[in-house]
Amino acid sequence: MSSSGSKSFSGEQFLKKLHQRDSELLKDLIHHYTPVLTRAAFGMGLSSQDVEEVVQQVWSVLVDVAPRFEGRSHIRTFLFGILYNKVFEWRRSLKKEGQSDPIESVMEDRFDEQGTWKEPPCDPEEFLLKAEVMELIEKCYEKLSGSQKMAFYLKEIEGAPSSEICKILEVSVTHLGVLMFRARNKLRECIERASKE
Amino acid sequence: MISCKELVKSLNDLESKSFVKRMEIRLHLLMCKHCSAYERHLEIIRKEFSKFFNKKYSEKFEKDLEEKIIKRLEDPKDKH
Repeated sequence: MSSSGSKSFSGEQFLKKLHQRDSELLKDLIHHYTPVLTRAAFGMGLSSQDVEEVVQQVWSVLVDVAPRFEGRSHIRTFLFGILYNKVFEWRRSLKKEGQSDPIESVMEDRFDEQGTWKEPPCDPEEFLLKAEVMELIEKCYEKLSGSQKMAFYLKEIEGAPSSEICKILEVSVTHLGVLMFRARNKLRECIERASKE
Repeated sequence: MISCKELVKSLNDLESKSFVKRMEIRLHLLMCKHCSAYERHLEIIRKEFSKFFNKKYSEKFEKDLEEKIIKRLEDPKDKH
Protein backbone atom coordinates (compact mmCIF):
# COMPACT_ATOMS: atom_id res chain seq x y z
CA MET A 1 0.00 0.00 0.00
CA SER A 2 1.68 3.22 -1.14
CA SER A 3 1.48 6.19 1.15
CA SER A 4 -0.52 8.16 -1.38
CA GLY A 5 -2.83 5.23 -2.13
CA SER A 6 -4.95 5.32 0.98
CA LYS A 7 -6.59 8.53 2.13
CA SER A 8 -7.96 7.02 5.28
CA PHE A 9 -4.86 8.08 7.23
CA SER A 10 -5.33 5.36 9.81
CA GLY A 11 -4.15 1.86 10.51
CA GLU A 12 -0.84 0.25 11.34
CA GLN A 13 0.99 1.25 8.18
CA PHE A 14 -0.04 4.84 8.62
CA LEU A 15 1.05 4.94 12.27
CA LYS A 16 4.38 3.33 11.46
CA LYS A 17 5.12 5.89 8.75
CA LEU A 18 3.96 8.73 10.96
CA HIS A 19 6.21 7.61 13.79
CA GLN A 20 9.10 7.64 11.36
CA ARG A 21 8.10 11.10 10.14
CA ASP A 22 7.91 9.69 6.63
CA SER A 23 8.18 12.76 4.42
CA GLU A 24 5.81 11.50 1.70
CA LEU A 25 3.15 10.85 4.31
CA LEU A 26 3.69 14.21 5.96
CA LYS A 27 3.37 15.98 2.61
CA ASP A 28 0.21 14.03 1.94
CA LEU A 29 -1.25 15.03 5.27
CA ILE A 30 -0.29 18.67 4.72
CA HIS A 31 -1.89 18.66 1.31
CA HIS A 32 -5.01 16.96 2.54
CA TYR A 33 -5.70 18.90 5.70
CA THR A 34 -4.28 22.39 5.20
CA PRO A 35 -7.41 23.60 3.35
CA VAL A 36 -9.81 22.59 6.08
CA LEU A 37 -7.53 23.86 8.86
CA THR A 38 -7.14 27.16 7.05
CA ARG A 39 -10.88 27.61 6.68
CA ALA A 40 -11.44 26.73 10.31
CA ALA A 41 -8.86 29.30 11.40
CA PHE A 42 -10.64 31.94 9.30
CA GLY A 43 -13.83 30.66 10.85
CA MET A 44 -12.40 31.54 14.23
CA GLY A 45 -12.09 35.13 13.10
CA LEU A 46 -8.35 35.35 12.52
CA SER A 47 -6.74 37.63 9.93
CA SER A 48 -4.89 36.14 6.93
CA GLN A 49 -1.54 36.72 8.59
CA ASP A 50 -2.60 35.07 11.83
CA VAL A 51 -4.19 32.18 9.95
CA GLU A 52 -0.91 31.51 8.18
CA GLU A 53 1.03 31.64 11.41
CA VAL A 54 -1.37 29.41 13.31
CA VAL A 55 -1.63 26.76 10.60
CA GLN A 56 2.18 26.65 10.37
CA GLN A 57 2.25 26.05 14.09
CA VAL A 58 -0.22 23.19 13.86
CA TRP A 59 2.04 21.38 11.42
CA SER A 60 5.13 22.14 13.49
CA VAL A 61 3.49 20.52 16.49
CA LEU A 62 2.41 17.52 14.48
CA VAL A 63 5.90 16.93 13.14
CA ASP A 64 7.23 17.26 16.69
CA VAL A 65 4.85 14.80 18.33
CA ALA A 66 4.51 12.46 15.35
CA PRO A 67 6.62 9.67 16.89
CA ARG A 68 4.36 9.65 19.94
CA PHE A 69 0.99 9.77 18.18
CA GLU A 70 -0.95 6.76 19.39
CA GLY A 71 -3.86 6.92 17.00
CA ARG A 72 -6.53 6.74 19.68
CA SER A 73 -8.43 9.42 17.85
CA HIS A 74 -8.35 10.07 14.14
CA ILE A 75 -5.53 12.32 12.92
CA ARG A 76 -8.08 14.91 11.79
CA THR A 77 -9.49 15.23 15.31
CA PHE A 78 -5.97 15.53 16.64
CA LEU A 79 -5.05 18.28 14.16
CA PHE A 80 -8.14 20.26 14.99
CA GLY A 81 -7.37 19.87 18.69
CA ILE A 82 -3.96 21.43 18.11
CA LEU A 83 -5.50 24.20 16.02
CA TYR A 84 -8.03 24.96 18.66
CA ASN A 85 -5.39 25.14 21.36
CA LYS A 86 -3.15 27.34 19.23
CA VAL A 87 -5.98 29.72 18.47
CA PHE A 88 -6.87 30.00 22.11
CA GLU A 89 -3.25 30.66 22.99
CA TRP A 90 -3.20 33.19 20.23
CA ARG A 91 -6.29 35.00 21.36
CA ARG A 92 -5.55 35.17 25.04
CA SER A 93 -8.46 37.50 25.57
CA LEU A 94 -10.81 34.66 24.69
CA LYS A 95 -13.12 34.30 27.65
CA LYS A 96 -14.39 30.96 28.91
CA GLU A 97 -17.94 30.19 27.81
CA GLY A 98 -20.22 31.61 30.51
CA GLN A 99 -23.01 29.91 32.35
CA SER A 100 -25.47 32.11 30.58
CA ASP A 101 -25.55 34.27 27.52
CA PRO A 102 -27.87 37.25 26.91
CA ILE A 103 -29.34 35.45 23.88
CA GLU A 104 -31.07 33.09 26.29
CA SER A 105 -33.28 35.79 27.78
CA VAL A 106 -33.85 37.27 24.31
CA MET A 107 -35.15 33.89 23.22
CA GLU A 108 -37.28 33.53 26.35
CA ASP A 109 -39.04 36.77 25.45
CA ARG A 110 -39.90 35.45 22.02
CA PHE A 111 -42.32 32.90 23.46
CA ASP A 112 -45.41 33.06 25.68
CA GLU A 113 -46.12 30.85 28.69
CA GLN A 114 -47.50 28.06 26.52
CA GLY A 115 -44.28 28.09 24.50
CA THR A 116 -45.89 29.53 21.39
CA TRP A 117 -44.25 32.31 19.42
CA LYS A 118 -45.15 35.72 20.85
CA GLU A 119 -42.89 37.51 18.35
CA PRO A 120 -42.70 35.15 15.37
CA PRO A 121 -39.75 35.02 12.98
CA CYS A 122 -40.05 37.26 9.92
CA ASP A 123 -40.84 36.07 6.43
CA PRO A 124 -37.96 33.96 5.04
CA GLU A 125 -37.79 36.06 1.85
CA GLU A 126 -37.18 39.17 3.92
CA PHE A 127 -34.64 37.32 6.02
CA LEU A 128 -32.79 36.13 2.92
CA LEU A 129 -32.46 39.67 1.61
CA LYS A 130 -30.73 40.71 4.81
CA ALA A 131 -28.61 37.57 5.12
CA GLU A 132 -27.20 38.07 1.63
CA VAL A 133 -25.40 41.22 2.75
CA MET A 134 -21.79 40.16 3.41
CA GLU A 135 -21.00 43.09 5.70
CA LEU A 136 -23.96 42.23 7.89
CA ILE A 137 -22.95 38.57 8.05
CA GLU A 138 -19.43 39.53 9.07
CA LYS A 139 -20.69 41.99 11.71
CA CYS A 140 -23.07 39.44 13.23
CA TYR A 141 -20.45 36.70 13.23
CA GLU A 142 -18.13 38.89 15.30
CA LYS A 143 -20.68 38.87 18.12
CA LEU A 144 -20.16 35.18 18.79
CA SER A 145 -17.74 33.92 21.41
CA GLY A 146 -14.72 31.86 20.34
CA SER A 147 -16.32 28.56 21.29
CA GLN A 148 -19.58 29.50 19.62
CA LYS A 149 -17.74 30.39 16.42
CA MET A 150 -15.82 27.13 16.40
CA ALA A 151 -18.90 25.01 17.14
CA PHE A 152 -20.94 26.82 14.49
CA TYR A 153 -18.15 26.62 11.94
CA LEU A 154 -17.42 22.92 12.45
CA LYS A 155 -21.07 21.88 12.52
CA GLU A 156 -22.76 24.12 10.00
CA ILE A 157 -19.97 24.83 7.55
CA GLU A 158 -17.75 21.75 7.76
CA GLY A 159 -20.59 19.37 8.64
CA ALA A 160 -18.44 17.58 11.18
CA PRO A 161 -20.25 14.98 13.32
CA SER A 162 -21.16 16.11 16.84
CA SER A 163 -18.99 13.45 18.45
CA GLU A 164 -15.92 14.82 16.70
CA ILE A 165 -16.76 18.42 17.61
CA CYS A 166 -17.19 17.39 21.25
CA LYS A 167 -13.73 15.82 21.21
CA ILE A 168 -12.14 18.85 19.59
CA LEU A 169 -13.77 21.43 21.87
CA GLU A 170 -13.62 19.12 24.90
CA VAL A 171 -17.28 19.63 25.70
CA SER A 172 -20.18 17.30 26.39
CA VAL A 173 -22.91 16.69 23.83
CA THR A 174 -25.25 18.73 26.01
CA HIS A 175 -22.89 21.68 26.11
CA LEU A 176 -22.42 21.50 22.35
CA GLY A 177 -26.20 21.84 22.05
CA VAL A 178 -25.98 24.94 24.21
CA LEU A 179 -23.20 26.40 22.04
CA MET A 180 -25.18 25.69 18.87
CA PHE A 181 -28.33 27.23 20.35
CA ARG A 182 -26.44 30.38 21.29
CA ALA A 183 -24.54 30.65 18.00
CA ARG A 184 -27.50 30.05 15.71
CA ASN A 185 -29.88 32.28 17.59
CA LYS A 186 -27.45 35.13 18.06
CA LEU A 187 -26.82 35.12 14.31
CA ARG A 188 -30.52 34.86 13.51
CA GLU A 189 -31.51 37.64 15.86
CA CYS A 190 -28.71 39.89 14.65
CA ILE A 191 -29.65 39.42 11.00
CA GLU A 192 -33.38 39.77 11.56
CA ARG A 193 -33.01 42.93 13.60
CA ALA A 194 -30.87 44.68 10.99
CA SER A 195 -32.84 47.40 9.30
CA LYS A 196 -33.35 47.16 5.58
CA GLU A 197 -30.92 49.32 3.62
CA MET B 1 -47.52 17.77 21.60
CA ILE B 2 -44.29 19.70 21.50
CA SER B 3 -44.39 23.50 21.84
CA CYS B 4 -42.67 25.99 19.54
CA LYS B 5 -40.22 26.90 22.28
CA GLU B 6 -39.33 23.24 22.85
CA LEU B 7 -38.89 22.70 19.15
CA VAL B 8 -36.47 25.60 18.80
CA LYS B 9 -34.36 24.12 21.61
CA SER B 10 -34.56 20.61 20.15
CA LEU B 11 -33.24 21.69 16.78
CA ASN B 12 -29.83 22.04 18.38
CA ASP B 13 -29.28 18.42 19.26
CA LEU B 14 -31.59 16.40 17.05
CA GLU B 15 -29.27 13.40 17.07
CA SER B 16 -29.85 12.85 20.77
CA LYS B 17 -33.63 12.82 20.35
CA SER B 18 -35.65 9.63 20.13
CA PHE B 19 -37.34 8.57 16.89
CA VAL B 20 -40.72 9.49 18.35
CA LYS B 21 -39.48 12.95 19.36
CA ARG B 22 -38.07 13.54 15.90
CA MET B 23 -41.39 12.57 14.33
CA GLU B 24 -43.17 15.00 16.66
CA ILE B 25 -40.76 17.71 15.56
CA ARG B 26 -41.40 16.94 11.88
CA LEU B 27 -45.13 17.00 12.40
CA HIS B 28 -44.97 20.31 14.26
CA LEU B 29 -42.88 21.84 11.48
CA LEU B 30 -45.48 20.76 8.91
CA MET B 31 -48.28 22.42 10.83
CA CYS B 32 -46.63 25.52 12.27
CA LYS B 33 -45.75 28.27 9.79
CA HIS B 34 -43.73 30.21 12.39
CA CYS B 35 -41.48 27.30 13.25
CA SER B 36 -41.04 26.38 9.61
CA ALA B 37 -40.06 30.00 8.92
CA TYR B 38 -37.54 29.69 11.76
CA GLU B 39 -36.14 26.49 10.27
CA ARG B 40 -35.88 28.21 6.92
CA HIS B 41 -33.92 31.03 8.61
CA LEU B 42 -31.41 28.50 9.92
CA GLU B 43 -31.01 27.04 6.44
CA ILE B 44 -30.43 30.50 5.01
CA ILE B 45 -27.81 31.20 7.66
CA ARG B 46 -26.05 27.95 6.80
CA LYS B 47 -26.00 28.77 3.08
CA GLU B 48 -24.98 32.40 3.35
CA PHE B 49 -22.23 31.72 5.84
CA SER B 50 -20.81 28.98 3.63
CA LYS B 51 -20.64 31.52 0.83
CA PHE B 52 -19.02 34.01 3.18
CA PHE B 53 -16.28 31.63 4.28
CA ASN B 54 -15.60 30.50 0.75
CA LYS B 55 -15.01 34.09 -0.32
CA LYS B 56 -12.77 34.83 2.62
CA TYR B 57 -9.64 33.58 0.96
CA SER B 58 -8.51 32.44 -2.43
CA GLU B 59 -7.15 29.14 -3.64
CA LYS B 60 -3.88 30.91 -4.25
CA PHE B 61 -3.56 31.70 -0.56
CA GLU B 62 -4.09 28.06 0.25
CA LYS B 63 -1.55 26.83 -2.34
CA ASP B 64 1.05 29.36 -1.23
CA LEU B 65 0.56 28.38 2.38
CA GLU B 66 0.94 24.70 1.58
CA GLU B 67 4.16 25.38 -0.28
CA LYS B 68 5.54 27.41 2.62
CA ILE B 69 4.70 24.65 5.07
CA ILE B 70 6.32 21.95 2.98
CA LYS B 71 9.38 24.12 2.41
CA ARG B 72 9.75 24.59 6.16
CA LEU B 73 9.34 20.90 6.66
CA GLU B 74 12.14 20.11 4.25
CA ASP B 75 14.53 22.78 5.45
CA PRO B 76 16.96 21.11 7.85
CA LYS B 77 18.22 24.43 9.15
CA ASP B 78 14.80 25.55 10.30
CA LYS B 79 14.18 24.81 13.96
CA HIS B 80 10.44 24.68 14.83
